[in-house]
Amino acid sequence: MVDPFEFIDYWQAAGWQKFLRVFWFFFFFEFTRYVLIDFIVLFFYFIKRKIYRGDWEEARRRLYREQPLVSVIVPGKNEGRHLFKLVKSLAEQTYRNFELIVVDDGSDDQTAWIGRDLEQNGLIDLFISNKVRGGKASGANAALSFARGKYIVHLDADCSFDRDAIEEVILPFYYDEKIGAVGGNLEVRNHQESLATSLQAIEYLKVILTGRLVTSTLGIYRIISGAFGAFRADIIHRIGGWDIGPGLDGDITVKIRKLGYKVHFQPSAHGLTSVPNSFAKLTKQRLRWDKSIIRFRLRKHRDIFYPNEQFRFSNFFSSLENLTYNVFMNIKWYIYFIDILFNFGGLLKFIIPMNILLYSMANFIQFAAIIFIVQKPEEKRRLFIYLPLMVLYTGFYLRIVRSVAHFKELFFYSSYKDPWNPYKSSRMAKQLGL
Amino acid sequence: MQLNTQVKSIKTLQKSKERILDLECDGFLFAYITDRFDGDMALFEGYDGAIIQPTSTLLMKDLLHRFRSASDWTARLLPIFIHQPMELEFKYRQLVDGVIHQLDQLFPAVEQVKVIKAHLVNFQLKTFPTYEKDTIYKLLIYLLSRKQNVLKAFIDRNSSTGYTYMILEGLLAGKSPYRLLEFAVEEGLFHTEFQDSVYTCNSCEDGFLMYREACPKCHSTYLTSQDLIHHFSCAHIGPEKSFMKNDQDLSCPKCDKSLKHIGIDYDKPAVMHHCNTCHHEFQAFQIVATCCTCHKTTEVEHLFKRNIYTYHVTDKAMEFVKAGADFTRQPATESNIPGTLSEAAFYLNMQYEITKAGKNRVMAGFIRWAPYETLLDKMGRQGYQLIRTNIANQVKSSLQSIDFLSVLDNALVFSCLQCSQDLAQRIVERTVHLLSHLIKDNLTNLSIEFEGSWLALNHREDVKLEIIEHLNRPAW
Repeated sequence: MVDPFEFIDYWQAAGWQKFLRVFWFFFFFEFTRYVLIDFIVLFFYFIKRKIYRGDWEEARRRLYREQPLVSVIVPGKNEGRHLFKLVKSLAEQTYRNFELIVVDDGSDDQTAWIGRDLEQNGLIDLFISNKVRGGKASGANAALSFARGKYIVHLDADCSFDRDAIEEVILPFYYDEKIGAVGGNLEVRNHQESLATSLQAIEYLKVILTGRLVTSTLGIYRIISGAFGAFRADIIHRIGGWDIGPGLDGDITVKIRKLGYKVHFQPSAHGLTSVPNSFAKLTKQRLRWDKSIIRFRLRKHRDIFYPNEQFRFSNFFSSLENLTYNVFMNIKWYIYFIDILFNFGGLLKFIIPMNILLYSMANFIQFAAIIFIVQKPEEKRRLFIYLPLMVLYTGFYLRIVRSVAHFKELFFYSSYKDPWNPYKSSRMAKQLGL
Repeated sequence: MQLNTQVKSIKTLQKSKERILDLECDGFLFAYITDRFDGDMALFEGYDGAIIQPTSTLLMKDLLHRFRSASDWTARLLPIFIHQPMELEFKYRQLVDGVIHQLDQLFPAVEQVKVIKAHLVNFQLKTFPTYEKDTIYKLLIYLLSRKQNVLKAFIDRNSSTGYTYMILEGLLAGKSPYRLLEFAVEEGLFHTEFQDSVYTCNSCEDGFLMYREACPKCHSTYLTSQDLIHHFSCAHIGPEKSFMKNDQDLSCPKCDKSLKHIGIDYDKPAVMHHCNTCHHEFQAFQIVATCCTCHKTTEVEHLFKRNIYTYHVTDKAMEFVKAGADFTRQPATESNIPGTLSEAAFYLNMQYEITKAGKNRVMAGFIRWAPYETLLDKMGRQGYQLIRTNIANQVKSSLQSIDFLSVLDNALVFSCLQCSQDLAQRIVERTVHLLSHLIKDNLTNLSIEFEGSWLALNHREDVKLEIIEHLNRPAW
């Protein structure tokens, strides 16, 4: 353990040049991207929101004048236990003109029975029970085949929503007709359950609320969460619905962007989701998510980087930013780590505590800003005590999981072996290079 | 032991050329007739028994029913024997007292007549002014005179519920036996043993129903079904029709790839049904039943379920007919709800209470529900009656023991004796709240709106008019 006075004395004596040399990764990449740029963009976002408030009110009036039919689709496997809670939260919605289509994707529990019962009692408009599992994408497409709405809202069954969530998530379509898809804002419902869920709650607030608000404002918003997103039905039919996952939500967002439509994040469309309550489950989930970056961004949609007639700068930057901060920066971090180990190996007792201090400080600044814009801030304040652990969570744990996922996907195409998708579909997808 | 049987005389009926052959055996006189006999039942006065020669089961059954439902005790309780070489079908045995294979062997019949006569001596043969009481009493006398303690239901395609109680069928002349038997059970004259349960029309109680698969939205039976196809490589799912190309080949509408091999390229994970009337898509049919009698189509969940019991005569019944005792309660009529008053009785009682109260006001509470016609249509007469009964029971539980109530078609009125206006208001509000929750929690596919009101009845006014006027007010 380093003596605090020795620690302070050392960094005082080292000077700012050495300080920057040692922590170049933090200052030039992480702090700049996730604190500095975020703050600047958020500042402009709030100003813009204030200026265009009247336009949003007009959009709401247009929405209520038209009252379009919205198809809420919920595909899933073994989600029966969540269905009643979900339909209850949907029954409370301020926007009433929607149909609810639930797809049971070959469940082997009581989902089919529960779903059918809810349908017979009028709480679900259409319940489709597939006897054979086809995967999440096929479930969503089955619902899409029978959806009649002008807009499609895709939800996960384990989510619940604020009373105005549907109204808020379709509102942007009436604000800007070039918007083709809207992502909803998800927070963690079970944040008090375990350390893993508390850390994910902070991560969701940072990545979804702040991160997506920033990328949306910059026009490079790249993923509409499958748990809560809205799409224009004509566009989604045009692109043939969802393709095989994992990572189908990111994939469909890119497909919509490629058609030239804007993708918007709506922070006021608010829902809650349950996250994995143990690190083992979380690791499994993140390995799946992280593999999709390689599979979809780097392979399937690599044409975004080609200077052809479909080329768009916004799409180019959207994918570039994604790959830079998720793949390349990940590699760069290892370079940084080796650099420190080789060049400053003897100073680790000063570097590690300072690293933790810097990242914690950045986390505190970020989280303090989040508390100002988040719903029910009093509930979120308890998460402050977990902020020091975020350094280990994002800096090491998630980074290592991500590295493993990228490595496995890059060299072994392991997403095609993921049991999350049925073998029959993965086999065909791999064969066709999808 | 063989007794000598003699033909004593032959009477020919004037109208139908049918004859009654008098047979005497050991001092007992039997009337020998065929099942075509259509003469007056009074002709059997003075006979100890009758022997029927059947020509068809239907005619025999009709004649037996004529005997057992005859207005006079003699014909109704007359020992009847069937003359045929074979044994009688089990379900008809309760209507007769035996089978005679040969006419010169009447000894068993004579013995049976003696037993019946010996029993009948102990019973009071009386009549009751009400149809229900009279029928039950006659049924008991008949059963006990034959030492029959069990009333069993038999499957019968000619019965409206599919089950018949042979002996009762004659007594009831086409009316439903169930309410009558329930009354007898309430009186302690029978106890029940579960036999079966059947579904009947909720409107006319008929058991002959046609079951069909129908659209859950519009109940149309004009439906077509098709498989859903899942194309593995692009995850597209859609109805088989959307994949059809040239009526034979399958091609994916999303990616244009040809689907050749089930299990390799595609599978069929589910079946979807399409309603050709309202174009609704669905997977689960609504099973509906159409009544063959009243033609009402009902969702099977709303059919009326009736338990069929075997009824056992109790010891109390034996004492009851020996003493010629009176019934302790009144039978419930179709629209009557136990523990409630008829509308007329309610007004009368209310008038008494108002007179008794002098210048003090008497409070009355009102609860009405809607939509009446929709409920009646959906639930049927039986189902709606059940709802009325449940509502009445819930309201009763909220009232003091001295209060009384009457249930109207879609409303209920009750007394709030010894209540202030505030208390009456609280009772009404609490009851409406309870009823709303009761219905909401238990009948998820039905919506019933309740509203309540209270009124201080004026002793100077006509109570009936005042209540009716209040009930007819569109808003309370």
